[in-house]
Amino acid sequence: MFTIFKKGSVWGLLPFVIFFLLAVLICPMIGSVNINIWDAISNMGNNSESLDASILFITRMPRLLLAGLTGAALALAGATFQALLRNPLATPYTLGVSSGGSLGAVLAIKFGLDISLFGFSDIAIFSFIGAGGTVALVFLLSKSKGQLPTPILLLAGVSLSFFFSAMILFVHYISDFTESYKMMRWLMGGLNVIEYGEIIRILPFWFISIVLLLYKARDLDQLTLGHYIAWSRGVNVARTLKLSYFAASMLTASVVSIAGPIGFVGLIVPHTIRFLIGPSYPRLMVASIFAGAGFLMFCDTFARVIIAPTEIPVGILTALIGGPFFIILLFKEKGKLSYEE
Amino acid sequence: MSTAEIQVKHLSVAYGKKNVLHNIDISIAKGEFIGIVGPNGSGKSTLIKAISAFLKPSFGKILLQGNDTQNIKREEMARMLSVVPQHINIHFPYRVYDFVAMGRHPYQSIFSLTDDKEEKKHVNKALEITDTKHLANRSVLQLSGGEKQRVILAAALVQDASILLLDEPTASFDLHYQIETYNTLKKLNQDQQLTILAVTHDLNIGSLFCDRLLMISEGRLVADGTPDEIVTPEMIEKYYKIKIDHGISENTGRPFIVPTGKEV
Repeated sequence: MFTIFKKGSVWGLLPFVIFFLLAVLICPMIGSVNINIWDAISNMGNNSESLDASILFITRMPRLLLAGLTGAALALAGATFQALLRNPLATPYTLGVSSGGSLGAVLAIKFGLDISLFGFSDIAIFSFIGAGGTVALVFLLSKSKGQLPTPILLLAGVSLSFFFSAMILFVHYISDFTESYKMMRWLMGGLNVIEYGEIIRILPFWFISIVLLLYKARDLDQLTLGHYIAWSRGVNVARTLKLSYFAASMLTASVVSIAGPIGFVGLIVPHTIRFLIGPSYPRLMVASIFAGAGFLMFCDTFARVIIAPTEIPVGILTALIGGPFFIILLFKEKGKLSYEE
Repeated sequence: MSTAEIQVKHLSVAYGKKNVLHNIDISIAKGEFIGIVGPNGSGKSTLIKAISAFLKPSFGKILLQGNDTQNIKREEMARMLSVVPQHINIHFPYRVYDFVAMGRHPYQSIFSLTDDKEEKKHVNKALEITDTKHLANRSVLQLSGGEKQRVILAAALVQDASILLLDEPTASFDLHYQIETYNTLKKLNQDQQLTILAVTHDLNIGSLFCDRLLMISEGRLVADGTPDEIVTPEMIEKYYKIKIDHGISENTGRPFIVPTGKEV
């Protein structure tokens, strides 16, 4: 049915690039206020003089930029963890990056730790530290003879995740209403309250992680078949595991620290791409970047306008749109996944 | 004698503190077809994994064409030696063609195009040799056990290595595909001087196709010789602990065995 998605060639990537470009073109136009795009662009830089320019460049663009970066990051990190853990159910959050990050954020809200460092807010800093600390902890718990055995990695990550979730609930429970609302709101994920500065500061982490992961794309492809077969084909298994684990975690942590734990993108985007152009990793990873970015940009635009002037947290919308779409796709394509037992 | 293709010297391998292989010495010349036999848990698979350098020796070393496997670069080694493991768990719906093409990994870089003509030729040839061309567009998850194993063999062949290690490659095959696969291997062995080491539980297959059999028992190499020397009632009784009927095939001149149902 999807004949434009040519399997086995670079042309299969084209639809995802087009999807991304459509998001870039359409999303800035949509909002509770109609703007004249030419007026906005011609007044670029003079935001104080033109309302259109100020809406486009100060309100919508930074938010859209963050949506793109976050969507790309979560989709790519999801695809990576699915290969690293050889498990189709893995997400960027499976190994506890998001619950660690959330615990950091919740603690920052509860104790009002009013620090800011290089322009990062206290919540962003603590959530990044929480996420990074969790990665390091899972790594130290799982490392055995220079290897990262998958079952131990999963057990360590998932159990830490549950432990941190319990701590989040505890902190939540002892908080007052204002704190509690702030926490809930952060945990739902959102792309508002954003200025360019914050985005630019996570950009180095984002960019370096993505380059590293694309550089390892071919090796990750082999790893989905198991460590032994990957090794026999020339993959340095231990090094690839460590490098991709850290790069994918850093990528996730960098966007979670600002946008909160936006769910579902890391699971459904890579799987949808697998259904459309197959599971081959180099193409899957490039497609994930474009499709993830486009998907979250569209979702966030809907979140802004669907019950305007009120906004829905985008994390709710990714699940509300993504869930049914993915379930329909799964139902139609499940034949491809069936094992002959 | 010139440098052996594979030289295993005083090899011991341990999992943790448990020694699985003890002081093994083997020398294999280019173009030999060798069967590794022995009871379950004797260390046959461990030997294969040690030769492919996936497991490090706790003592001794393994030389491939004169070079210590611990010092050979990963990609270079992948061009010298390929493996067919006992089983591969595949979690994602790779198309059979793409799955086989993944075996070209040691020859490609990030910038390689998968639709390169030369690469296609390699893949198509391997699909033909293993009689899997008609499966090219199927998902690997939908193959039967035998089909999947032949596709895995195809992926090992596109690696274009001069040594092939197989761990019970035909365990899930019916008789026809067992013989057909071993005929294919024998042909590659004779035409291209491919050196083959195959773990097998089927002593009749080993007797029929291999130039030489290695008997492994409790982590030691207990016998190393031609099928005539290894497939004997005494050997089988000693290491497999069963009584057998033994004969020489009129058609092939090779020894064969039939279990009598009695244990020793």
